[in-house]
Amino acid sequence: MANRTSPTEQRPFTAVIVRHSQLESLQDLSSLLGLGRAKPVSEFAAGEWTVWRWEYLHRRNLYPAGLVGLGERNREGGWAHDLYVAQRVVAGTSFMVLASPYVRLLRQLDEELRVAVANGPALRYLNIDMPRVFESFQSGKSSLTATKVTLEILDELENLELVSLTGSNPLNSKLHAQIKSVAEPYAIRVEYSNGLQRARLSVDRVGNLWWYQTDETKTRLIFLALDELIKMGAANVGLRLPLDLKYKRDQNSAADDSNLEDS
Amino acid sequence: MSKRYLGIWLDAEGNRRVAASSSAVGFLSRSHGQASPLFPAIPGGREFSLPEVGAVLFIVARSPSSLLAKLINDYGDVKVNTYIGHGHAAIVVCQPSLQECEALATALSPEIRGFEIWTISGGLVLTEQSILCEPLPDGSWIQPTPVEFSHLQSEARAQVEQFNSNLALLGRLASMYAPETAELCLAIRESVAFIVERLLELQEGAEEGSVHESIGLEAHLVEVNSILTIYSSQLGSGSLPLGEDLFPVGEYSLLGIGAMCRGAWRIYSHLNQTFSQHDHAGIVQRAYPLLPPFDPYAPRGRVDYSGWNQHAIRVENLDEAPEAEARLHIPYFSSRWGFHESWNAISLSWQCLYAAATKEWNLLTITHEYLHAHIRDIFGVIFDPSAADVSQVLSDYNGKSRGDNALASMRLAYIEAVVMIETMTDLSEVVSGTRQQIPGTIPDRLTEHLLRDLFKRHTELVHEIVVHVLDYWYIFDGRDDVYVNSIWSSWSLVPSVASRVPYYVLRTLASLASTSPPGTNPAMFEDAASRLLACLKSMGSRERERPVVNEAIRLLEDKESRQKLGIQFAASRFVVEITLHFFKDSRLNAALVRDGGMAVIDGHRTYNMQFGDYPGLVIESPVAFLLDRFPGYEDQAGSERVEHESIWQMLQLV
Repeated sequence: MANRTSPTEQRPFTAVIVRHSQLESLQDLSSLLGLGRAKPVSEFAAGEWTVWRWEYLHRRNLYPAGLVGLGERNREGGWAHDLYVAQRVVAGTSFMVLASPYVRLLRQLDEELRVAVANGPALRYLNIDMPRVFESFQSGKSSLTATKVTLEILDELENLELVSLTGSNPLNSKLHAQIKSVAEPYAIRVEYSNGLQRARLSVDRVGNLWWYQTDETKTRLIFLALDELIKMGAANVGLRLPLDLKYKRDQNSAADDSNLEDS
Repeated sequence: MSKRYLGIWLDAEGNRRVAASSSAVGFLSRSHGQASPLFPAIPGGREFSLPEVGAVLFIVARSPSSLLAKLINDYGDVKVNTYIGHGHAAIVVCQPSLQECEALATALSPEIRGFEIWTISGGLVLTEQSILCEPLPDGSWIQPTPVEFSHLQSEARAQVEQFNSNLALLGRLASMYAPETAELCLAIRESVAFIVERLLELQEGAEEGSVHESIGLEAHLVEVNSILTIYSSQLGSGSLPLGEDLFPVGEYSLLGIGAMCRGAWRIYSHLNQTFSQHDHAGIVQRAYPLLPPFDPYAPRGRVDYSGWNQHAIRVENLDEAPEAEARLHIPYFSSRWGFHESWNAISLSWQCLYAAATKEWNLLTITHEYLHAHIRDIFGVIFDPSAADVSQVLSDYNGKSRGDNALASMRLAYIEAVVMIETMTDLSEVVSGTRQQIPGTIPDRLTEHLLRDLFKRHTELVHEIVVHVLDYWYIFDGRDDVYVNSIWSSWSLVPSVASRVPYYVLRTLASLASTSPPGTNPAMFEDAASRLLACLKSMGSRERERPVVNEAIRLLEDKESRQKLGIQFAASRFVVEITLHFFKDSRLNAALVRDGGMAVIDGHRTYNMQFGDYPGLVIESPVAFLLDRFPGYEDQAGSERVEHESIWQMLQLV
């Protein structure tokens, strides 16, 4: 397994989960994008997921303008954008995760894939049923630990919309009990540990996933955590690309998530 | 041009002809002519036209938004020939042949309630090559039984007989096209059965005033029948087979407005369910008599409302399960009443059919009407000024007693509010020079006559202020710009507002003051007035002049008028504080806007939907959806885009 992520790409990765009958492997993805046979940089299994790291070659315009690029990302054919592609089958249906540090790249993929499948069923994006996930954590049914929960505050005027609670078990806190009747679950950050290492995955209710990418041992843990979340929060499938709904999360906001990296 | 009419008529040989046109008039003037407008499902798409040879599929969807999401997103080649309209058959698809229409209907069958396919050749509908699949009554439908009326006297008997027929018709139509209205049909039946029961009691007994009460109840039956006939006509319009029944409104005579009625029901029922789950009138009725009294007068002199911050008295802190089923209104469209609420019905302006995506005719106005019913129920529990015996309450008020419990205290606060309004109105007139001196209508002691007179004159303002404050908090999320724009856009087209602009300014000031920093009356008035002025001025750049908005600006900028408003504001604030301290409920507020499908972007909740998107979302909170749409509305009606967006918006809610 190619382990350590290139220093240029060590930053928060954003991901979406897409469903389409023509997307069952990295090769399917590459083929739909008109890129021929894909050569993954690495490939590994994480539970039921098959995960590929792929260098998506494109002009550098998807790369954040504020970051200075390193020469190591230059390839013949374009700038090498790291893209994790993962696939698994849930209840007979294939789902694919697309993860990248470049939100604009994911948008671009969405646009290209929509065109590629325009004459058939559209892409569907999966989001987690957040109230069910919260309930599962409150009833102690999970092997994950919820270390941060974000709630949408519904009775406040426009001054306040989202409130986050952090700690070892914020869902069982007094504060959460006090506000939950006027709040709606919005997002959660979970920790998954294999005894040696732990990884943190954040998910919101509109279908965005994000984590701080360091190495692929932890990436494996991320996908195991995702499996757990999908199990507890029977997923919904919608037509919207979650990124469009995402609170303007761009590379510029990366600093906000830098504390996600485990020391 | 995106709006085109589908029209039909019979030719001299009795054949059904069909065509598309930019006007309905030509169709309607022909034999058995009918027409309805259609718009491309995708904005900017191809305008409606009929194939020379081909077929047209009319779909009655269980949920138009869900079916359109599938059709637009999963059938790439079909979407360009898909159109939307107002009727139950809100989705119309043109295809090259009958077989292709049939195949599409089969593929979408789980989402379809019924459909009709016309095969067309050279502008002729080939009846023998057309298909009709009428909706079946919903499996869970319970048809309301007729109300027994045989023992009633003649006038009431005739009305109930009419009612049973109307209900049977509505029930049949609703079971096929709008089964979600089942609870409405049953509730109307129960309401009339209750009236009949009371009429029989009055017939048999010899109660004093029984004739008077009977006449009132019979008038109630007349109103129910009147609304039911309108509602059946609107909800049943455009039923299959198309063209067989005529909806007697030229513009929509072929396809009707059934889908719009379903959308109106969705908005209304969401409001009704949310408010009834919190049953504030029931809480006040059951819990307040058991709670200790509070001081209803103290804030008046000291302008200090902190004494009312008693945790236990706020309705949001009193958990009471609803004991009775909520009263249901019939939500229908009316050009005569506009937005209006009565005991049996809530009407939406007819203009909403083509201009709901404007600030003038936005659908959020229905929330104001609904809140009137809510508030009237609460104050009905607190005090009925027409009650035969008001001696106890007069004695308590004149003796400045707190009363025996919280309900009695609230009753006294209600009286204090109307007395303050009277006093401040008089004072403002003296200060402004309209009167020479205080007329002295408020003596030291209230008399029964004066009490009734004050309530007659000022109850409306008290109720309006409470409704405005709750509307501003619950529905408009305390957003000054959206709130002021919504209500003043709506008022700007109501002729009667022009003669009472200060009254409407005062009501708006009261709601804005509910988010002003607590302080003295003048400080809060100045804060609210400056915010209102800024919002009104931002409306000044509209194409069409708004005299009432200009007049409101003038009043707020004129020193004397402002001073007068400031004095009247002191009494209004008393009512605002009653609302905030006792009747505002955070849980109800949360329930009204709760929708897991919304995202938070830049500090605002949003569905992030553009006009013409079909994301297949189930809109859980119509209130939140309409509020999210509002900032993007055009100022005024009249454009095709507005009509197009109004239909698209309503279909998202069904």
